[in-house]
Amino acid sequence: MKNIKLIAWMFIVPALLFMVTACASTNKAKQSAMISQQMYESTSNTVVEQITEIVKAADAGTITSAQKKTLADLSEFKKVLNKYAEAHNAYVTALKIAETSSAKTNDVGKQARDLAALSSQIIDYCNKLGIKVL
Amino acid sequence: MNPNEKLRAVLLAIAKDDGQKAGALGLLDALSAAAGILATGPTGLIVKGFLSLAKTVSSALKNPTEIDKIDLNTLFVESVDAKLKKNGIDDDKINSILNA
Repeated sequence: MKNIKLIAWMFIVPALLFMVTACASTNKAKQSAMISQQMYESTSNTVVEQITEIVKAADAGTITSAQKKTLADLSEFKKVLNKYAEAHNAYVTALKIAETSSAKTNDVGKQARDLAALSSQIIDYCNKLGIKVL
Repeated sequence: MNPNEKLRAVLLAIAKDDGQKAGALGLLDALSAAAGILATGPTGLIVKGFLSLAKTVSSALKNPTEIDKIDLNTLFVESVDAKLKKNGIDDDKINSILNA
């Protein structure tokens, strides 16, 4: 399986929590969102490539039992990534609101905590699927 | 210097003010806690990954004026399902393969 920056996910959790607990400025929050976006894109694109490759093999009639098992795992993994995408977008939306209303900063914190929790699940799946660091 | 100490040095170099330093050390703690992941590959590869990521984080931390200019609308992401749909793949297709 193509390598991705698995360890990078380890940076999202503390980066987001740091932003929530120590500094809720828009700039810090944007930095966290940027890193989150970059890591999500890297991981999700790898998963999409892998699923597409296996589906092509199935269409060609050359799929192996190992690929089928991997597809099952990737199918479960993508559910977590979909949730992460939703949480990430909710976080960015909360940031947009926070830019115009200081009363809404609690929403940013909640969304950041949701992202952090999902990051842990993503790390577990990367381990299960044997996705390695670069 | 062991890999963790090298990483600590990199993160401390990135973090110039107290607030960022606390964040950087927090990152190191999280990485150290990932013992299972650290055990999966050769140390050299892991350090290479650390340094590459440290560069990304460093770039973000060192350019606050650039970050100011970023339009939040560009930070939204697309779901995996939406990306797969562009390749003509949906859950029905995947399930049909898994159930075959």
